[in-house]
Order: sequence, then C-alpha cells, then structure tokens
Amino acid sequence: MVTEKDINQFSEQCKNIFEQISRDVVGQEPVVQGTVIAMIAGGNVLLEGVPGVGKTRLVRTLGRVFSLPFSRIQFTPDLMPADVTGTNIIVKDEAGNSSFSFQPGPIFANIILADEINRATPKTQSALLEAMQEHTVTVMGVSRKLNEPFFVLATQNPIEQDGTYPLPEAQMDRFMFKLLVPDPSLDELMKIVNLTQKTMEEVADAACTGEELLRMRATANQIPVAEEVMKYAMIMVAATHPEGECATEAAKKYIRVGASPRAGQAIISAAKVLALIKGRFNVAYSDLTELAYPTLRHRIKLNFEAVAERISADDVIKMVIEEVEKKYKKS
Amino acid sequence: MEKNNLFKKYHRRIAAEGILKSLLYGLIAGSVLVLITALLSWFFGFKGGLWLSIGLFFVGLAATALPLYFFKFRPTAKAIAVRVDALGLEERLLTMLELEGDDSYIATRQREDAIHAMNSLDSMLVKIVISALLIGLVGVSLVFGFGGGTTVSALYYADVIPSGMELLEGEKTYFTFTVNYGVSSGEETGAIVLWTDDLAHTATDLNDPFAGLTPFSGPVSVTEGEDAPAVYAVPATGYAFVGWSDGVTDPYRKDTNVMGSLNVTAMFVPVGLNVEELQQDAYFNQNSQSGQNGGDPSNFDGGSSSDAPSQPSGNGNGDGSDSEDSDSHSSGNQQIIDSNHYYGDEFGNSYNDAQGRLESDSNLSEDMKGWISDYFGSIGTGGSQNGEGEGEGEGGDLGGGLGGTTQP
Repeated sequence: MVTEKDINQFSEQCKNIFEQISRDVVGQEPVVQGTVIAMIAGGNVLLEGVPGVGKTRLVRTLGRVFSLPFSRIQFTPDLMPADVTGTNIIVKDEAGNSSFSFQPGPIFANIILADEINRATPKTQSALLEAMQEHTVTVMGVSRKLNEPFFVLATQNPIEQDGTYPLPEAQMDRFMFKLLVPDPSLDELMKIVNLTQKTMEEVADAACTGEELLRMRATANQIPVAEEVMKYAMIMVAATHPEGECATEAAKKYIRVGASPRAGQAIISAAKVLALIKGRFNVAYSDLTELAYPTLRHRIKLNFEAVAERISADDVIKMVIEEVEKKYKKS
Repeated sequence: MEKNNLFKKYHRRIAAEGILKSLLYGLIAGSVLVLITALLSWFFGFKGGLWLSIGLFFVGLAATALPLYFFKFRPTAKAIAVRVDALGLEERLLTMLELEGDDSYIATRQREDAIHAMNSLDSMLVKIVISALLIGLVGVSLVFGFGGGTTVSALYYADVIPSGMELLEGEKTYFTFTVNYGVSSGEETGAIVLWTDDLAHTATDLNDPFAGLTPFSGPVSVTEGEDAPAVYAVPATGYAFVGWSDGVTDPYRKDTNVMGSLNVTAMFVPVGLNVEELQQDAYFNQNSQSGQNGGDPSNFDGGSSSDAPSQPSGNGNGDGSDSEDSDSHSSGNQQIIDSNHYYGDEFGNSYNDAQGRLESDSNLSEDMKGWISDYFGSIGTGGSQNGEGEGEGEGGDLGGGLGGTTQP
C-alpha cells in the first residue's frame, strides 16, 4: 500500500537522482530521464549514439547515483558467453581434491554496462537474454538468480557497422527503451569541455539505494491508469502491426513486423513512472505519446520501402501516433 | 452525487452544445425527409406533398434530435471529464471517475489533484464547438432539402410545373382536331344545329326553349382530349330530327374527350306541309269543307286543343269519331298538330319520299338506314310519347308521335 511517505520519498529521490546525474552528465536530459524511468520501472535500456557523446559516462554515473554494484562488459567479437555469465572452474581443496566451482561473470552485478553490445557474436549476445528477462543465469544446468535490482544498459554505435552483429529481435524486445543519444548542443559542448578540463573525476553522489529504487518502483506501479488511456496505449501498439485490426496506413506501408506485447507492458510501466515524476497521479495520453518513441522504435521492423525512402522508425511512429489520435483519441 | 456538483459548471455548456448538435442533425434529417417526400409526391403527382413534406420535416427533426440528444450528445460525467481533460488536465478527471469509491491513498491524492486542477480551470474555456462540416451540411440540406423540396412541391401545388412523371416522359404533343356538326335534309327549310357550352341549358322562355343559343356555324377546332361544344339539333318547321349520322339519337349532344376529327350530320326528315301552302292546295280546300262539317274546329289538333289555329279551319277529327264520316283524305290521318303544319296524307308522301331517299343515300350506313326505318315504323304503329290525339286514325297516331318528337 502506497503511503504519503512513499510519494514524498519518490519525489524527493527523483529530484536528487536528476540533480546528481547532472553533476557528471551535461545536457542529454531526455536520455537521462528515459534511463532513470526505465531503471525505476525495471527495464533495460539500449543507448545508441556515436562515440564520445557520453553513453558510458552516463551509465557509470547511474551506477554511482543508485549506489549499486556496477559491471562493465566491453563486447568484442571474441567475447564468449562464459565471459559474461561466468563458468565452472576446477579448484583443488587443501586435500588435493578437484571440484567444479562456479566463478560468477560480470553479469552478477546490479547494473551492467554492455558496451558496444553489437560487436559481440550472437551467441554471446544471447547469453544476456535470460538475465535480461528472467533475471537469472543458468550455467551448466544450474540457475542462479541475479541481484535485484538488475539492469542491463547497453550501448551501440549506429555507424561503423563492419564487423558488428545486429541484435536479434528477441534481444531487442527485451530492452524497455532504445534511447538515441544525440550530439551535444554547442552550449552543452562548451560545458562538457569546461567540466573535463578541470577534472575527469566523476563527482556524482549516491542518491538512493537499490532498496529505495525497488520501493520507488512499487510506488509507481500503484499509479492508476484509466481504462480509456490503457486502451489508447494498446491501440497504439497494435497499430504498428500491418496485418492487425488496428493497423494504420503508415504501418501497412512501412512496417514489416509490429511491436510485441512487451511494448504494451513497457509503455504502461514507464508511463506510470513518468506521471509520478511529473507530479501527477494518473497516466495521461501525453505520457504515452512521449514514451511511444523509445518504447517502439526498436520493436518495429521496417520494410524495404521505408529503407528505400529513408524513412526512420521514429518517422513511422510519428505517423502511427497521428493516425491513432485521429481515429481513436477522445474528443 | 458529488461528481455532478463538480461538473456542474461545465454541464450547462456541454449540454447546450449537445442540444445544438442534435438540432442541427435533426434539421439535416428533416430536410432530407422533406426532399424525399416532396420529390416522391411531385413525381407521382400527389398535390398534398407540400403539406405532407412540411409536416414530415418537423417529424424528422424531432425523431432525430431527441434520440440523438438522449443517446449520444447528452453530457455524461465521463463525457464531461474527457472534454475538460482535453483542456490540459491530462486525464485527471477521467481517472478520478474510475477511481470513484477507491479510498486508497493514491486514489485520494489523485482525486485531490484532479479537483485542484479542475478548480483552477475557467469553465468558459469549454467552448461550444460545432464543426464547420456539420454547419455546412445543415446549410446544404436546408437549401437543397427543405428549400428545394418545398419549392418543387409548392410549384407543383400551384400547377406551375407539371408532375415529375410527366416531365420524365416528356411534354406531350396535343393534336388539334376538327369537329363539325352539319345538317342534312333540312338545309333548305332551316333545320339548324344550335350550340351551347352549357349542357344544362334550360329554357326560361317556354315559347322559345332555345333562347340564348346560337346556330352552330362551321367546323371548330378542339384540342385532343378536350370536349366539343354542346349542340342541339333543332328541326325546322315541317322536319323531324331522326338522329345524327354517327348513330346518336339524342338531338342534344356533347362530344367529350375528343381524340380525332369529327364530322357528323344531324338527320332531318320532312314530316308535314306548311299550312299556308296547304291553304293554296285545292285538295286541301276540298277536304277542309268536310272537315268543318264533321268536326269541331277547336278540336282539330289531335295533340292539344289549346293550340287550335283559328284561320285554317281544319277538319281534324277532334274527337276522332268523325273520321268515319270523311273520305279517305279527310279522315283521322288529315291532322294539323300545331298552328303551322298540316299533317295530312302528305306525311305518307313525305314518308315514302324520305324512304326512297334514304335507300338511295349512299352516305348512310345500313345501320343508320335500318334505324331510321325503325323510327318511322314506330311512328306508324302509334308509339306516341306526348301526343294525346283522340283520333283513332293514322293521322291521330302520327300527330301524337310527331308531337313528341318535334317539340323537345
């Protein structure tokens, strides 16, 4: 049961989290907000941006702000699954007897930075699947539960596609958000340079603990969603299916595969957090519209026509939202 | 309920909008109904369509507006919430309605938040919104539906335009026919055809029952389907009307719905001699002596004693009983049945003459000839209608029969 204390704590901690992050990360507010929302809602985040825009720094800062154990895995083509999950190794006791002992991999932390995730082979990438969805790791037939809260914050570079392995749809679907990290603006760039000229140290302090984060998640889950609003969210997801009953013209024209049901779950969970961050106690249509882009852009598969016309996923989502608003939205 | 009070300040405006929309849709429906009714009635030639369509306009208006308002546009709490939320309340009211009865802390906070946000909102921000499309549709339907429909009905009602069916079939061409009523056998002695447009013409002057009527002269043109003038066939003195050449026996005719040219002739036959001519006739004078001896001059008219002429002291068998006393020429068949005519044996001569002419008249059909023969036969066998001749002779019968024929 949510209490006044929970609400006040949520507001206070949100404020502190954003404040502390801003000490190390200049600008990128939408990305920061999206990442925080996903973490509170319990989702994984895929950050996509060119090198040097602060992706890794953001993730490291988040680890500090949430004062959670943080692991960084630099994905390379020769990275093996065992390098991620850990493996059984033979150890000898004092008596000289050999036995297998599980050596946990870097995934056994609360916050995982999967840096340049698309450089690893699909086999290694898929080693993350179980961890991302079930929060467990199975090695040699033994399942081990990961510590809560658990997040995978992955980064990938949209250019330099040689020698990369695009993430399969199954893994993409397990990211709550795909956030595009843009280049900093001129002012932001000046601030970044000024900041790093003084010191490269990250100065953000912890703003909340893992337990507090779980409590914030529980609080956000209690935010009510009106039936009409819920229906609108589901229509928005269903509208991305070119063959579905709610299919929009944009979906029929540009989308090959629509968003999965996980998109519906993700958008509602995230919308509740966003509403509470905004100081509202209900989910609004505007929350859904705002979150539709990070929630859907990696879940829809564009067809050849869209690629040929250089239509991006965001363009298609915009068209879908506009059509849905016209057809289904309130007065 | 509390929510009703909460939404009270918005309810009136949204209800007004609902009523307005319902009326506008009603106007569209009514106008469409007017148009359909007017067109149908105009097309099928129902003149009451104007009033029917105007009546149905109000029926359609009411039948559409009322259900629309009560089932669609009447503002419910949810509808008001959605409407007000759209003003920037971000679904606060909608969620609040769904959380009604929920006493959890989060629901309470949500309700407080929603009410606070709503109270900070000016009710005038809720605009009465009527879409331009609806207004346009109403305008079009009123102009073309109501205006056009009633105009068509009114024009048809006032006979300014023909019915739709007639218009569809195209304007009919009416032919003009020639109708002529001629006179046969009586021209020389003045048998005439009188005409009148008044079939119900009644004589006001007993002495001249045809007063006011004029002789029919020449053929007249009659438009197809219309009626020809009414005419009477009036025999001249000494003639009897026997029928029209097309078989009509009534001297009094009006050809209606003329669909072709018509040329008919009134048939007359001579039935007697002029009294003045008879006075010059030695034969008449000879027999009139015996007639004066044998009968009362005042009773010479077999038809009516009051019509007895004073000058020709006829020998008519006023009582008929004297006929046996006279010779064959002065017996009952020598009668004067009016003041001007003597119907003696001349009738026989005339009859024979007429029969002969009839037989030789190639213009008359066999049916007509047969009919005329039957007619004369009926006269000869005493088929009296009006005559009250007391004489038992042939002349008495003839006088009675002719009396009924020549005096319409």
